[in-house]
Amino acid sequence: MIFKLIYPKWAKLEGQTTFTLPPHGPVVMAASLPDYVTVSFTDENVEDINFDDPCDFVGISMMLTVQAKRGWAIADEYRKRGKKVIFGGICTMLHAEETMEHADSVFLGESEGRMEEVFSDFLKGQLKPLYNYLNEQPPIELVGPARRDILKRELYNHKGVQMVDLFHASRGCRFSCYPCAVSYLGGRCFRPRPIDKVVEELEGIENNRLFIVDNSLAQNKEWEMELFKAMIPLKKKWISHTIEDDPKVLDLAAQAGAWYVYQAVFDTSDYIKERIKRYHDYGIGVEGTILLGLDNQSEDDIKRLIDFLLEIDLDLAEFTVLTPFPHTKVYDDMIRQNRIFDKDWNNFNAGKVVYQPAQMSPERLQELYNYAWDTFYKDETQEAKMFRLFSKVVLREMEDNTYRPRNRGLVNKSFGKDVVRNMK
Amino acid sequence: MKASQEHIQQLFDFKGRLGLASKCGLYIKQKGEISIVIVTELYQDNPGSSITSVTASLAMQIAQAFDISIENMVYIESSPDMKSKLSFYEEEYYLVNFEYTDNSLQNPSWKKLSKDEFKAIID
Repeated sequence: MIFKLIYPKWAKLEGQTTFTLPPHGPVVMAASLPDYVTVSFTDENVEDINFDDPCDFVGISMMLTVQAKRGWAIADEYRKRGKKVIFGGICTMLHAEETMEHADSVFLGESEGRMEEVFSDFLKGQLKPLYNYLNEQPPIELVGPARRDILKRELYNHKGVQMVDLFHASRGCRFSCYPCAVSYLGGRCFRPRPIDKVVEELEGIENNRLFIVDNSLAQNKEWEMELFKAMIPLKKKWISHTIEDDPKVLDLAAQAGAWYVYQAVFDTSDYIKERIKRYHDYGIGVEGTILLGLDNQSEDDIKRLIDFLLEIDLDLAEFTVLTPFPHTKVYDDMIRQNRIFDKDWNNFNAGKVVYQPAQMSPERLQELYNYAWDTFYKDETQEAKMFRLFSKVVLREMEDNTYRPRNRGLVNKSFGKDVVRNMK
Repeated sequence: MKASQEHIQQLFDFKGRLGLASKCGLYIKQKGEISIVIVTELYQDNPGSSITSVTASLAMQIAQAFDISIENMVYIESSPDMKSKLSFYEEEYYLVNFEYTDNSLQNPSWKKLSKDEFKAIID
């Protein structure tokens, strides 16, 4: 039985360096499919969908709100052709009711241990319109190695350099951060995977460079330290979100191959300055993630924040505008205050202002967002800063003999497309 | 529970979006014929939909569970003080108005209440 699994494309933010990473949701979901199912995977961000490819059942996996409308259009096309379509993934959970209008079935929750039922129902012609397991997370021990074999790896390669593979060591989140829906999606308890399962999966990943996508590793210090200790012999190099601000943990993280972290920079305090310095002291790079447009930010606050970023020696910075995604506190607050003026989900890309900010006009916030990108990368471009960070990891790999030269066969390709060189 | 319990008499289990099991804090005060209902968001202690995402449905579920007349119900949503360093988690109260047609509540609209306005309603 052929299951056509599709990851819809979305429009990337203008003016930013775009690297297409292999998706994580579809490969994790594919690992939970019954043995009799053959997966045919298409990531529309790197290849076109052939709607005529033979298949028995279609799955659409959506992570981002900006994938929703495209995912619905794909489903409409397949359903016109008589195929049954099921949706899953984070975005599906956030937009379940709307998605149901374009689906034969919608799956909410985590797929481990659930897919036998779904596929058995499909084969019997008894597919349910909704499988709602949002509140019933499977035991974390059931999470096995993701099915990265379904990816066409050469499509995630830029001029011979393989992109990082995505990986997760835990689920759920004990924090309820203002703009975040993770606790709604993955449960309000931090659920770390058993260390032996994590190591087993890591050992099976061909790629030496990883992105650990967990919301925050800094939720259970004991487990975090055990995780890093277990990762040291693997000699992987990795990117992650926040790591516990503790010298012992940072030291272990560095030994375990921490390359750089995403660290939220929300004010201009000495605490933030020292936090960044402490990462750097252990050789860990920092990409600041800066959210613009919070109700307590004035225009001056935003400008001061950008000046501050230039002072604290960040390796990279990523700016986003506050975006009220469904099932977050910010969404509820904005709905109550009738402040969302743009409900086109394609614009919920964290680069477009879709709501009325508290202390300025939407147009002014949009200008400040553009100003932030331009100012931070004025003296050194984003590509140049990325190259510096990349060079650091190459050096470390050379030191521990894990460096793999770029794939010469792909130096003229970028994400599956021919590289166009401007020759003078 | 992390939410301030000042206006929580009991926990109320309700059906959230798509029937999702959900939980909120509940306080009901009778003032003559008027039933003042205060529902409190529990954040980490609510496993399902937020109170705001299902306002009309939740108000109906409470009215039915406690035999409250819709016409005599004053419905207030409370975001409790979460003792957070972030201002987004300070205590807030919203009076919610609905259209009541065909035995159902629709089109909720929210009005933020100052502390004095809130006090005047419940005292």
